[in-house]
Amino acid sequence: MWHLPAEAEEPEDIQVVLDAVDRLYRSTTSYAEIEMAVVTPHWERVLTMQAWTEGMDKTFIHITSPKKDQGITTLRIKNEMWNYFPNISKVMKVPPSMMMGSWMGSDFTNDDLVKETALLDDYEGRMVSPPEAKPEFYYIELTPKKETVTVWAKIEIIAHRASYIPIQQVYYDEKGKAMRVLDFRDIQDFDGRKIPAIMEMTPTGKPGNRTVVKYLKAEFDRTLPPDIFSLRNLQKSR
Amino acid sequence: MLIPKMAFRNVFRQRRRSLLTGLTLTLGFVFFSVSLGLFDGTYGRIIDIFTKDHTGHIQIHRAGYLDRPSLYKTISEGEDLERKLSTIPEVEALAPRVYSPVLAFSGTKTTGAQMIGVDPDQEPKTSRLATKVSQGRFFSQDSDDEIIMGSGLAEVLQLRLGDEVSLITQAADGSIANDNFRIIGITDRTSSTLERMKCYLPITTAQAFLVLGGRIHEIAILLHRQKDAQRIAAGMVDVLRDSSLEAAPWQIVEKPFYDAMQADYKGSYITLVIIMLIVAIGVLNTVLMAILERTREFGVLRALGTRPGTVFFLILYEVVFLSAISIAIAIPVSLSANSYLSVHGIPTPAIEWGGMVFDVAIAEVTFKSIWLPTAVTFFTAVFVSIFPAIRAARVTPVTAMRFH
Repeated sequence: MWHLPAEAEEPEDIQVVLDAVDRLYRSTTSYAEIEMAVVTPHWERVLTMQAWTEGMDKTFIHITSPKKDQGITTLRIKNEMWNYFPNISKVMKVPPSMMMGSWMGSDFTNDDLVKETALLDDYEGRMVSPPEAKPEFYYIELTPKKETVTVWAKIEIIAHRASYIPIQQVYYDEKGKAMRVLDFRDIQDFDGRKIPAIMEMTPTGKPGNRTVVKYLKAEFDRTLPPDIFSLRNLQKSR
Repeated sequence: MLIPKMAFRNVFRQRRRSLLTGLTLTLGFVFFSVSLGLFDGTYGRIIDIFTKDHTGHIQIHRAGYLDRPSLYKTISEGEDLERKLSTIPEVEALAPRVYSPVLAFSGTKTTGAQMIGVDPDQEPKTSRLATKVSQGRFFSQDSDDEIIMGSGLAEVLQLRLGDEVSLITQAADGSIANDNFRIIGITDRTSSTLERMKCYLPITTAQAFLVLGGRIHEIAILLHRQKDAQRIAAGMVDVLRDSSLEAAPWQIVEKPFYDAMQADYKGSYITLVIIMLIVAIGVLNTVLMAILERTREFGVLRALGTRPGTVFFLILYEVVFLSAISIAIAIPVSLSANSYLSVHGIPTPAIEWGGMVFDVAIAEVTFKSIWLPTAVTFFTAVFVSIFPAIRAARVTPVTAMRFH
């Protein structure tokens, strides 16, 4: 493995790390089976879903359980997002005003799904060395570029130097308050790639709330069914 | 006993003078009393109209709901509670409600809205919602897919009566609530902007949609008299505390409105003080003239040996008697005037305020509209008489008798 010396903090290295984080669960194409557990003080639910991606811009998610939510699908192309609800046979486009709303009741927002691959394009990074820094990790502080529209005034990323795999992202609002923490753990082999199987999002302001996403299966660069990233496919009953 | 008797006789002896002074006192009293009646009546009416719009006079919630509403802060066994509450004699009607933010969408348009679940039977008795439906109709019975939309919401989504609209939100069990509804009614356009972005479902439909079971968020209570609200709400505290519920009178639920009304009401005190001053000046004028005109008479009295103090009290007693008689006449006149105006009112130019239209000023018959003018008229009359009475008492007989 090629280790970067601790003093090397050139911008290219940061770009490399951000790109790696953006591409963590993606490739030319990907297919994954995922379990998402949402915990709140009032209820706990586990959703299972299938997710397809193509490049950096296209995502298609189909909820497979529980029964109530089965058949709900989400399509994202670039910055636009649609949901389909089979119970009512309706497609709903997510308007900009709802982007910060929760996706499927979880602690991930619609915006997260749309912007999940945008760290490299939308943010400027610089290396930092906090007092508790461990030598095996990069500590990168991200601030939005001038033209970026986002609610996060700062994102801190901690990633393995050796593999660029993130272990934590902390999101800050414009007042410098940490609003949520995303932890990555349980690195496993998925189709030849080493990826954290578990992502856990914990909002800081809501005690008792957290969402744990667990990758059960992931395949990369297979041929996907045709026309999968389309509104028509959104509404197809399965 | 001589002085009061003389004073009493004097009042009737000088018929024209007494009549003039008495008329000033009576008219001043009536004017002031009707002003009070109209003020209280207008405020009372504004409060009535406002509270009957949606809020009601008392609202019951789970403790903490008013400060921070939440889908999960619910009242269980609302029906039991409703039954108990209906036994309170001051209660006129009550209505259970359910609230949730929702996404409403149709075609390509999506917007946020507030959904309120209302009882088709109880709601029309408790608030004016049913009368605000200007197109279509109110809920006739619990129909699964009927929805009433605010006019603003219908406009944003470009929907009309009979169209279908979809609602999405997070249910109380965490699942995604989604359903289609048929628009059977649209509320009118005179409500406030906030009001017009609301939509209504029959409460049982809303409960099923939100997976609430039988739980509700609010019981709105209408009393026969809005004035009882604070007292009755305070009386409920002990009973409700056991179930961690709280009762809030409208003064708390609609605190900004109440504060604004209070400020306005206090501002009207200035107007009332001005009216009082006008009445006082009228009384001063006539009483002063009455006393000055009798300077010669008082001079004769003094020349005959009457002590100044006696003259002073003579004048004062006259004023006391005259006031008492004038007030005694004025009271029934004011009462009938206020009574009449409490039913018919005075037409005014129409004002629109908070989504409601006011085009008539109504009076209210209150105890205050009697005792306050009585106190003011009486004490003003006596007070303004003191100085002229002192002067009259100390006049030198020779100068006085030469006066004309």
